[in-house]
Amino acid sequence: MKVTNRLSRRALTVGLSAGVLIAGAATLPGAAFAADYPTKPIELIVPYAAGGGTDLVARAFADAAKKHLPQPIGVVNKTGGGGAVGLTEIMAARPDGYKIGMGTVEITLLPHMGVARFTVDDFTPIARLNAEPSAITVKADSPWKTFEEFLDYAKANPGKVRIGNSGTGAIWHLAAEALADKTGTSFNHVPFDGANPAVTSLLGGHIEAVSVSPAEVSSQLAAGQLRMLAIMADQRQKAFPDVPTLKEKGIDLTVATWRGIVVPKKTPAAVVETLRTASKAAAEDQSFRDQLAKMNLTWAYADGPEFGQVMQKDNAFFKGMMTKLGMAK
Amino acid sequence: MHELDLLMSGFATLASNPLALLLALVGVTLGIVIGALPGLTATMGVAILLPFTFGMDPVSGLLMISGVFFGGVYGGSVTAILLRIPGTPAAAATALDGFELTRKGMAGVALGTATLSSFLGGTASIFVLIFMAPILAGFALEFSAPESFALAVFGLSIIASISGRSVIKGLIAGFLGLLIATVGMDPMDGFPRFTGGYTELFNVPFIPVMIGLFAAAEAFKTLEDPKVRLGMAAALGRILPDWPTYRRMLGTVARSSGLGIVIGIIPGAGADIAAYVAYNEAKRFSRTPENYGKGELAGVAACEAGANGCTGGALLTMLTLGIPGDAVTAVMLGALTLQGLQPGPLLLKDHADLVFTLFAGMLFCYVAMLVIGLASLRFMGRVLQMPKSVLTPVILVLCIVGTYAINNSLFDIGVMLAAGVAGYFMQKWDFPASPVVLALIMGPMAEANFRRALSLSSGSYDFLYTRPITVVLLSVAVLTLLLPLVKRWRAHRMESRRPGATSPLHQIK
Amino acid sequence: MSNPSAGSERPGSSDDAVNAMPLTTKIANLVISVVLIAVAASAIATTSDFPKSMLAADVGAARFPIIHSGALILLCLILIANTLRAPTAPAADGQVRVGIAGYAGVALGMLATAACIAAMEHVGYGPATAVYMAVIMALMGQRSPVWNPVLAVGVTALVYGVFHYMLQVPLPVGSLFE
Repeated sequence: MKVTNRLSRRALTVGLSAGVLIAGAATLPGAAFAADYPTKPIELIVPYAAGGGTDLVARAFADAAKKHLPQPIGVVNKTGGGGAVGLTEIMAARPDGYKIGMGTVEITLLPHMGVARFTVDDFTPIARLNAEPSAITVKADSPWKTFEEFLDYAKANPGKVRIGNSGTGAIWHLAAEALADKTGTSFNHVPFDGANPAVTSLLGGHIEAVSVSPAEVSSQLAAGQLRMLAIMADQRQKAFPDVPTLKEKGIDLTVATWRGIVVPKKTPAAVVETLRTASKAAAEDQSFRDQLAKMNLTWAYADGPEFGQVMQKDNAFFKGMMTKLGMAK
Repeated sequence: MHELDLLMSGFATLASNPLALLLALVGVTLGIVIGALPGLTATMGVAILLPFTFGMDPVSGLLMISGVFFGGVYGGSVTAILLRIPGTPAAAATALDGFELTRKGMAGVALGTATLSSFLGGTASIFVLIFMAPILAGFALEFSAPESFALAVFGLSIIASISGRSVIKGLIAGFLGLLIATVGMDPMDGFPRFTGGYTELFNVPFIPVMIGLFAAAEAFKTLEDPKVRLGMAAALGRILPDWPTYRRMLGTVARSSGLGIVIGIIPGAGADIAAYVAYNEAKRFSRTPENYGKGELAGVAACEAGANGCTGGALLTMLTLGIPGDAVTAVMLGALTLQGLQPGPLLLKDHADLVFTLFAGMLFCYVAMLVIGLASLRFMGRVLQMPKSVLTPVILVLCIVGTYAINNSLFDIGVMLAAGVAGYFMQKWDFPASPVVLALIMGPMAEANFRRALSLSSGSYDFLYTRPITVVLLSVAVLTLLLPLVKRWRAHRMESRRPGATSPLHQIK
Repeated sequence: MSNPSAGSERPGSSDDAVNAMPLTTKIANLVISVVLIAVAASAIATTSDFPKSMLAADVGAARFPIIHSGALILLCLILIANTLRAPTAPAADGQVRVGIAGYAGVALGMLATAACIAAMEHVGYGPATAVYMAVIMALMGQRSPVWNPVLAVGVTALVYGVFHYMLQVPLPVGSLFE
């Protein structure tokens, strides 16, 4: 009895090590295996609803990538939890490169709020495709013609200026909080269910300002209903050359949302390489750039490592910010 | 009439673009199919088509999308009436009386009425969009958080009139719905409430709950009686309502269309709210309110005219202000920008020709919807001739697949099943399902806007009585809630005064 | 709204105190009320863990759930009171008709649905749905050895076609085949 038991255990050990060897052998020519990648269609998980900004970027990218990958990319929307559901799905996907994801700035926000099972380190960045800075926009008939006037009024009347954002803990809320923090003012932050309702409220004169991206107010700016006072970017936007950056105003603050391709952490290096090359080609494809321009979105390609640095930097910044605000858990 | 000239030249341009007309037809057909399937909404249909429109000329692409939008709003009524599967939240209101009519063997006339009323409501809204857009555009901006809160409260007060036979049970169902509606991210702080750690519950799974409560519960019920398992379902009957019958409903249709247009203009309020409000007002003004909920044709007409009236209103806000009021118009706004047209105050000025061609095309879409709808009703009605032993499994499969399609989530199917089981028992013990759905629509809107209003006014409750629209809506809400109670109390007193007349069999509520 | 046409023949199931109710309705009302009160009470208990709002002028995440739960408890208590006050009527025909077999059918249908969802995760849409359809059809009396499987597979394939190809909705593949 004992003997057989030991025997079988030994057989098991042998079998196991053989298995490990075979598995090892299988991974050795992994490069050759990955050279075949992709042999079937790739799923691109979008953590937001179809038709939204993130979805449009994803679909335009999938379209452009057709030319640069032997297999098509199919977009799948997994919505819910302010992006948490989809991002969790990307994190937990089998790391074989057949389920990739559209990562957004929420990767660096949600983990600190205690509502996500992932952290920024669970993802390998492939390519950033798009980035939009935050901007302070007021009504055209408001008394503030420049950012200084706006800031002076806000300082003189703490808590009086109502800034609309796209939801508490969302990127535009943190942008306004960061501005308050850097300039020593205090605003009344009013969360809305997305950027559009906030802009509507601003147009109706129910709030004083919004902190959403230039793209989200561009048509009202063009019609002369709204006025953009400053953007939180390193450089002025091409589409709005007259709007100064906060840096020009002596405030060292840049806040931007971004969208880009990410894969689960354990994805093999060869697959990551293939995706990086294809993403670069697709992102630099003129059709993709045109598509983004049409949607008023800013093309902001960055290769994997550079994208990773942005993610790490944002992660640290927002963590500090949210801890300070008492939002971090 | 400057607009009329533009519209005429719009029709002329359109006539020379047969491709656009063909794509509009395709859009309407696809929209009806998507609307009729549970779980698939007009939003999803529009989003699916969006990439295909990239390569089209603006008119073709946008007309196809408009077709899906209009067809999607209408299509929900077909399955709601025939099978009590509301394809869209708005159709849950249509199912109130529509399915009762089917039970009575009047499915055909209910479908015909729904189609005609959808057409009339939608067409009226497009005409308002064409001729009154600049006048009405400002109205959307009057609506801030306090007004939206008041509208939501008004919507909730409708629970009193759709409660069926027992107001207490209706209110219990309503407050249960309100409590369910608080599951998920808190609208102001983003704190996850009652989620038990499931990220899937961060947003209230509203459509799975609705599909479960209505469609799955109904399917489970057909499983219980062995005698009907092989029997044929109800007959279709005639399709077009006779003219005297429909003429009596024209007032209701006109009122409901008007309400639909106004509600459509309001940002954040859509076809679902419009359908319920139109139903409520139709009942309020009806000479026979007791028939509502038992198969009243005018109830079907009101819901459909209201829901489709919304389409023009929502487009009005989106086109003139550049603000999408709901998810569908948000995607359409994206489609317009992709075509190089920036919606907003300048659109009508800079691109009048194109916009009026679009308007002409939208009218065409509605005519197409009427024709396709009426032509396909006989065919659609065939499902009633299917043996129940085949129909019920098909309905259950559609519930499962449709629910999955919303978020590509198996979790949602579980929610749908739980709601179906709950809905089965609710039906068994006379707890109505509609108040739950209404509460799920209005509850989050009420809470978010109340708290936002408070935040906007720095904590002062003055907004409840200093803003005219808010005051009017809140007063109407109180009246809606109290009137049925007062009426019943009076009827009750009269009856107890008359001895011998207390036979419960003759008591009509 | 659930069943008014049949309901007019079933006068007993209103909550009006003057109306008599069958015993089954009374029990159901009481059980449902107690369950809902328990749900509402536990919801209120849960809200004590909710954080205070970060916004100065906000009432906080807990306020609305507490209001809704409170109203729900109150309404359930009214329903309990009404039910207890109402005289008991003889059992109405409407509920007698559903026999044990009927309820067993419903329960089996619900279980089959749950099993189908669980199976879909592993074996994917196709096999799970086809078997599920066949089971429900069998439950409903469609037991023909030819038509049952043909219809089950046919409908499953048709739905797959409509959703996957026409509507571009990917259906679950199943973890075993991924």
